[in-house]
Amino acid sequence: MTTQDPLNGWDEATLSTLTAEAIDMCHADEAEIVVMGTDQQLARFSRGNILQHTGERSLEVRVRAIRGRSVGVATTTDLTRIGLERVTHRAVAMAAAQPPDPGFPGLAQPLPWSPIPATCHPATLHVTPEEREDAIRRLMAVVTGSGSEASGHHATECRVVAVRNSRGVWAHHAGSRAEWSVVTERKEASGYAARLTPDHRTVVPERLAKEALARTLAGHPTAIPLAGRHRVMLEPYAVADLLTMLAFTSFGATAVAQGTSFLVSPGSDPVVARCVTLRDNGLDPLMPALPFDHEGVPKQQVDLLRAGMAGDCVHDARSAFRSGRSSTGHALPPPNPYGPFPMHLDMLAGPTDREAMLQALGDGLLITRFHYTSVLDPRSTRITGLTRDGVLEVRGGRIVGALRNARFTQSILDVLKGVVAIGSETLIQSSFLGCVRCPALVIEGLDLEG
Amino acid sequence: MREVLEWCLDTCAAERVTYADGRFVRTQSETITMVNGDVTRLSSEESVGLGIRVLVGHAWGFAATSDLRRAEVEAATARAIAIARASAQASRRAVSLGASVRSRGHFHTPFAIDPFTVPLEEKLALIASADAAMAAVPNIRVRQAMLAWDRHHKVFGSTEGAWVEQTLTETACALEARAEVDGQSAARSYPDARGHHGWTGGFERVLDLDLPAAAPRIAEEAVRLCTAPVLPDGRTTLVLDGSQMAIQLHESLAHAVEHDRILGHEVSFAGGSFIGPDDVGLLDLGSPLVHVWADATTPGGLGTYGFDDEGVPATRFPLFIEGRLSGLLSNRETAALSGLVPGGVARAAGWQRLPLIRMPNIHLEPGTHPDLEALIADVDEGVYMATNQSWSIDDRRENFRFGTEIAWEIRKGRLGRILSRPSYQGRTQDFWRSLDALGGPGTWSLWSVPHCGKGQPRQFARVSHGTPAARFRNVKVGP
Repeated sequence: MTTQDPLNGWDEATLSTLTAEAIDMCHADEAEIVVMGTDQQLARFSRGNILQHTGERSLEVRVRAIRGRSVGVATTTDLTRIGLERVTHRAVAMAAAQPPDPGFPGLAQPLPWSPIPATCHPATLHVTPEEREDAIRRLMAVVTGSGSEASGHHATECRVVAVRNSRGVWAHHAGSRAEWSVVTERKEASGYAARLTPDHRTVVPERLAKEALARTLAGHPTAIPLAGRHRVMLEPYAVADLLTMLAFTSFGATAVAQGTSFLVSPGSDPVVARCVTLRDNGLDPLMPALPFDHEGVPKQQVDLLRAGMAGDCVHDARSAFRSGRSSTGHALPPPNPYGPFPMHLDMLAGPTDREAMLQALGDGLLITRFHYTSVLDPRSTRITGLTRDGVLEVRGGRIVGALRNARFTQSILDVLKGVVAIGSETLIQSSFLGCVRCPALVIEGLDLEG
Repeated sequence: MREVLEWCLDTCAAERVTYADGRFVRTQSETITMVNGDVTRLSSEESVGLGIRVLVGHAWGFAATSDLRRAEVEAATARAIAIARASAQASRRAVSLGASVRSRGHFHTPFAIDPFTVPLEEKLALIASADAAMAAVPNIRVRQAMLAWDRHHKVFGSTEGAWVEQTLTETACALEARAEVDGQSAARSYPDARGHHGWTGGFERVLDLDLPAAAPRIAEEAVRLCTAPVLPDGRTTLVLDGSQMAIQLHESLAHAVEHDRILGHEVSFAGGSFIGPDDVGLLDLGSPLVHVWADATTPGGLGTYGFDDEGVPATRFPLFIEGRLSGLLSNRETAALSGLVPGGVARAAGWQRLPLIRMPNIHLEPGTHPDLEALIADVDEGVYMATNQSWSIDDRRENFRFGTEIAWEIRKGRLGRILSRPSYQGRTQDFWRSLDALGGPGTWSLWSVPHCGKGQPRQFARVSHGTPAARFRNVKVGP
């Protein structure tokens, strides 16, 4: 079959008209309209079968109405004229019901922003169900050919964000995403691989299968790692988990204002190894980029960790107003009591290729990814979690076998203080509030509980 | 919406699909959040749409749309059928749904006070009062208060002839006080943690919970935690309050009995289970005190409804009796595969999501110790932990570590000092085997889990657990 054009009805001209009408309907002092659209098709497979194959198309309007300094938010997916009238009416009613908010900074003023080229790939938008199933079956064929089984998912998606406010802000962005994950299993051994890209053609399913399989076929896991501090190499999947949790605990301005981020008192010493630089970079077209935030403010690149030193947190208009700064363009969609968040984490690659990384590890453990990490203490960034889908034993820079999964409990900053080598290749992965690009790391000490 | 759903089912019937169902869902949600006295969120949200699930041969297709004009509904229906046909070409498995489901009926959440009719001004005054009570306690750095109320109107129809309509009303509230003393920070919550204590029902429960009255206590406990000694590492007798028992039950047993996990359908994302497909009737946790029931009929539970999202009527059935595995959480497909009866537990997080096996309310039956005092009376040395703070468990639901907001040491049968940074860990079957006492009905109440994640695209479900306080021996604890 051929697919309907996901952008049909979501183009800049159509959404410009829709948001302008909504602004006109909103009888408030000021108004902001955010439109978010998703057209996604996703297939899940498990142990040789495609179990679920879904399509979703939704467009949602979010209205912020301002009366004086009182703010009301209303949302709807009903985009008929009656639906728009109702949602603007509800937003105004919400604003009218509440006292003035002294922390409200006003709506964003229009600032110039530049579209990011090549973020919406027609090839990704027009993948048919048959093509998606064919790609999955090619991946599964590689895995079953080795006596293993494959589970995972493959999604292709179009996302649209448009922001208009009564001060003159107008911004529209359409982007594409293709996402893969695969777990390969052979008895108790498992492996994992994943990708996120705007252009689905850049992922070769058979290669992804081979990457996961290499971990599965490294050996049958026998023993649990000994309790204690281990020298480890963290694959980018495990690194992405740590960086996401670090962003969650530390790099939003709300966490700093509330005293739960280590950035409250970072001191003058490095907080992580000097070779580590982490930034938020929403403008890179290789990531699922977004040139502006959900207030229509242009995204800035923000250094979160700069050569081992604590960097800056990200701001939205509200947090910037309260701290005398400017918004960095990291507002989440309204209503948002959580404050700003870095949605595009980007850890700089190092000089070390994979073979040299394994040599730098020497004797230690190669850890594929973590599972169910949970924050124990946000200020110290202490978390707990488990390894998953491959703990491989390395001796003299060579993989010699596999071990069972184990729990770790440690401060993320403590882990990153022990970085001794950074991989030269990076992977882009989806995270629970955005995406992460990062390399593999060799770490001096990860505390496993055995 | 009957007309919209009928367009879709008529189209499916005309295309001679094996089976089809459709769900129209309208969700209305309103939320107030106050942080340090400022209203940071006052929102009214609405989501309306239609999800269509189609079985062609032995392959499923699903499509959803928020555009309910006829042409768009027909396009979404065609998309679901096209996806199913694409999958059917290469399907290697047999899908059976078992006996037909032809439910007809209505269900409405009962309540005394409709939360949508309580004036916003009254709600704002209530949480402002709670906020002020927390603010009166010195050293409180962050105060948060939240009220939320939702209504889900759902219409389900299928080509088998099922047609059910439901209106579910949920209400929730929460307080949190975060203190800071000499650079040390700690938080306490009420009625429960994670910023959301919810139920199906009305505003009457908010009034019963009396947020302003509880606010000073949690603020004072947060301050005391900042200077309290840290719980030392060791093995000891552990008493858990109902809130923490709810998470313990949720993570270690309730997810483990989900049939899709057991069959490996979730192995790449949510994970598997330590329970095998043939373990019903055989697996024994080793504690005769463990009686666990699935119950979608419990008044007030967030997992309470009249029919699931396959049209199967809500019911109550055992999962563990005297510690022995007695049942699984199955949908129509997995039940048919294994010769079981579907448990009415297929739920979708919204119109745009496929129904998955999601736990309804899961309860641990109370024991015989009448109250907390009785549970700790014969504990010479131990720890009492309350209010869940963190949770982590492996992908087979075996190796867990949970933290709580607060703990008290137990010495010679009495509660002593407050201890900070409490957590405990263990392995699921060993841990339940170490259960030696359960609180009685007086310690049993419903606790909510508001953000239970599963599936791709990600779905968040709400569920309640009825749990008593409980006592476990020789448990590894520490900061």
